Amino acid sequence: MGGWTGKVLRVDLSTGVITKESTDKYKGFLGGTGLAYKVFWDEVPPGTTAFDPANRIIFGVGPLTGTGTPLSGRVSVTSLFPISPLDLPSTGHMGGHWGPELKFAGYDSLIIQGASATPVWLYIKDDVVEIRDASRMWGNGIYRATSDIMDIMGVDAQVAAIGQCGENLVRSSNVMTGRSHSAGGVGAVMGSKKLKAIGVIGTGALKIEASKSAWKDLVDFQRTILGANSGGVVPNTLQSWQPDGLYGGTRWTAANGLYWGAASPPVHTGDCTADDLNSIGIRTFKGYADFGAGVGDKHTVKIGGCHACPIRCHIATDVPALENYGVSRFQVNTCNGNSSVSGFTQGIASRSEDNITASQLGVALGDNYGWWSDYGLTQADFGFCAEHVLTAEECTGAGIDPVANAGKTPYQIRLTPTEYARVPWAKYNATTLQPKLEFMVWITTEIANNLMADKTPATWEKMQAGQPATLGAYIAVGSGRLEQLWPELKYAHEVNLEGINYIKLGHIKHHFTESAGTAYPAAILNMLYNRDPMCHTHTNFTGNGLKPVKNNPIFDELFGPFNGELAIDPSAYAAPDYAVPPMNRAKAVFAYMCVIYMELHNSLTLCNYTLPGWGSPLKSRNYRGARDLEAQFYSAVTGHTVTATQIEDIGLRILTIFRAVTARIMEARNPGTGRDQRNNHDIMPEWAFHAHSGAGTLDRTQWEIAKDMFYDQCGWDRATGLPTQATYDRLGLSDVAAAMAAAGLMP
Amino acid sequence: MADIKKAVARALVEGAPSQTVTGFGEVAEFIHKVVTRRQFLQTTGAVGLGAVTFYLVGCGSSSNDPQPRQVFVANALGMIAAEPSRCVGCRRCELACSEFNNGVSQPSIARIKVGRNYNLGPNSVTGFLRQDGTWGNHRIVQDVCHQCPHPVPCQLACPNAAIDVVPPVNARVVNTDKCRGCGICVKACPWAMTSLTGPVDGANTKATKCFLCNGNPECVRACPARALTYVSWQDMTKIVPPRQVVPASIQLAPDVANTCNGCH
Repeated sequence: MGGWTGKVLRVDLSTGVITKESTDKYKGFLGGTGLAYKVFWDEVPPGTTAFDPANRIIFGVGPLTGTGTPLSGRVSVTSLFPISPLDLPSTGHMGGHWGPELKFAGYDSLIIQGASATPVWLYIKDDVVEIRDASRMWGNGIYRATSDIMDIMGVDAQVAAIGQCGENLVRSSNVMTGRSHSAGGVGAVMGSKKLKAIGVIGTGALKIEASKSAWKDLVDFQRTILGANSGGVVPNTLQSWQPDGLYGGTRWTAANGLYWGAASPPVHTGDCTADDLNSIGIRTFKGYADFGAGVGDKHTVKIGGCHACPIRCHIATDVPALENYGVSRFQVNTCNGNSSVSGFTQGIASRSEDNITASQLGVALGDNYGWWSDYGLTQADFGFCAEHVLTAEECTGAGIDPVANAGKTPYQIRLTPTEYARVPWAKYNATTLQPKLEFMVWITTEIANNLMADKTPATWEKMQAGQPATLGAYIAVGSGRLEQLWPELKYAHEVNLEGINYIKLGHIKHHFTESAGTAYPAAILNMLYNRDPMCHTHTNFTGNGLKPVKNNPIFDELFGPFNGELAIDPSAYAAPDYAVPPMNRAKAVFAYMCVIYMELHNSLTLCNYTLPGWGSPLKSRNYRGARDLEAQFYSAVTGHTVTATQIEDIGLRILTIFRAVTARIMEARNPGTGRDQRNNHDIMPEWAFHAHSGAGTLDRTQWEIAKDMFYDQCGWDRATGLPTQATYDRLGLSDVAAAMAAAGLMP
Repeated sequence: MADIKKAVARALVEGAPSQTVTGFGEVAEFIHKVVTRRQFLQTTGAVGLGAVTFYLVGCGSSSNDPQPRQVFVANALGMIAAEPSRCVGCRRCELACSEFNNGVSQPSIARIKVGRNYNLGPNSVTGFLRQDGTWGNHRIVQDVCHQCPHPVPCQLACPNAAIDVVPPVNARVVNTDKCRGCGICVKACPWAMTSLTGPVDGANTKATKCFLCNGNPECVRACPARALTYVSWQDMTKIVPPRQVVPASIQLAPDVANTCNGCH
């Protein structure tokens, strides 16, 4: 079959044994997250913890990775997540060129297990795979590790590495490749295995089963229906060719008079018309959109991104002021990566020169240390703990003594006086840039060092035993654990003090009820996973610029009929904090298709940051895209022809085995909890049922209906949220059903 | 001399193989005027001794092969112009090249090469954050075939005469019927623009090099950032620094060497 190489690479760092296994047993799960969930189901004993050598870290690529399918450059990195209080499995996602390189080297995925006694890195050059000594790079950052490996392998090596955060078991840490592509949450798993980095060079070929002309036609078709990053198919700015005036709200931000101002010479973005396939990569001017006019455009060198992707979304900058701080003036990152470390500053005006300076200095720090912000949860917790003065009422709500604690911030309550005095608060509270940046550097370094107050390496066990830690270590342990130590933080999470937006199980919201017109589907997506769901299918479609007036009919045509029920609430577009209309079947199908296609994207692999392709920028198609893009590409590459419905069932198989893995682990950790996913896992925080800024408010009754209808779509039991025997059987997972039955985990 | 110029100009415009419109001796005289030995050394001198040796020693060797191949060839009519400040590093050009021409996704055989310059730029061995590439100043250099004017290194070094000059655009094209996959052309190209589809001398190994897709280059078609353009040929060999030193072991093919003696 095309697409797959036929071999999965497995490296046991405890024994040093390297094996190459057949991919066949995983093909029903495609690759990426699907393959990883299958590995966890088959191999990892329930109750294993993130830092246990038995934990796996799976660098999952799929049949489409590296094939030249547009948007196919991604890697799903799956492991038991250190930030999860129950050590549940989750996935971090990285793009760049590493995943395709692994395929060209001949591997359909990489499974790492065991733990090395000494620091090592993994050398992969086509057939040659070796575990090598990493002592000379251990203790150094990601930049040094990458540089050292390029010295050894050659400058065309693709390297994925951890920094000091991963080494020092900072639970919110990442693995990074290609300077700006990081998989969040898994850095410390590599650190626990003493695995510093993985360098890859691949020179092989990936077969495409379709004829050259048919393949070219399919690639061209997708290029014609692509829009911009985040699915935008209508330009954000009125352009000379504008169709129907349907502009607004997308990241299609190139325009006449706008330049990549730091390019040499500057590059005019200009009109990027829908029919000009040679300017797709210019449409998304994220530097301008994120950092603002006169700042972002001035400092943008170009917009980068991943292998094979014509849509570019990583902002490559030139900020000469950075040379004053000893880092390169050239940086690159996108979205949350640009605000993670600078989130430790306060009072810097957005869209200012100071803002981009702080942001890009933060990038230089965070991407070298390999720190991950848990999608902003860490900074939100930090801001609350540093600045929120608790009232007596809040102390009572949190169950702590109001007399002793009211009038103090959580850090004033929880840090030792010595530790609190050590924190350079004057710099944090300063009004000028320089001390703010110094604080940012100080605290990021403190996190990376991850020490107890007695300067020994910090661990959760020591904190549970009541030993005092440094501020950095309290941040490094992650929100889901810290709230177990600090009741006021748990209370803040429940009622959303200071807009922390904590959902559950150590994770924050991600495109939640504020997502235009999709409050219930978005809430379902946020309940399903063990970290923020990283799902963009819903926002990419509803935010494509076509508005509900066109998107609802498109969704109805593709997935209905829904007999007049609307998947997307038009009223949300008038007022974001709208009264959410009741749940209905169209919304249940919408939620279902959003999660199914996300799992397909993360397994094939394709980019869920821009897909689905349900809409298009083409007036000639009445702005219609296609439901079966994923099925068409999978069929063309592998030669295994499937329809959209059939590949959606593969997506359900992937989601269902993930459900089984999660339930089984929860049951092992806390008997009785795994068998009721509905009430123990699929939960909403209290604040979601109260008005919160700029978002729809959930109704408790409707929320329960939403869960019923979603479980129905999945073929899962309404009472427990567990897959039924019939569903397991239909999906070819009868063996999973048998094991679940034996464990008392069938509905 | 004017007639020769006219004949060559006509050949370029009409895209006919050079040997059909003009005799070898005439063309040799023409090229000797246009590309003098002195210019040649100026160009290659920066590369190192290997490249120089290739031409000096190679031209002086002899051969028993009585059948001269196309030795002096017409200039190409088109080339790919690449703009590093516009390149966004997606490498769709490499993919389009290998997929739409070879039916496989394999950047290592692409006839345009970006991946090798992606991290640190074309001239980097060590050093970091101070030079080209995504780890440097974000400048990404796309390496393209220059469709060299005579003497065409890959074409003249090929022991199997498997690189032809083919209309309509006079690109230097691998004849896969003749190619044996020996890899000599890979070493002979100062810009390292030829590749092999498999191991050296492998049963099915063929060389790949840019043939301009007969005038409609797939890489240009695929570029999402207007970074590649198909333009009229000009001699970039005088401008773009070579990437590798051609080893002294790479000699002109024996049949070529005899012909060289006719005019050098």
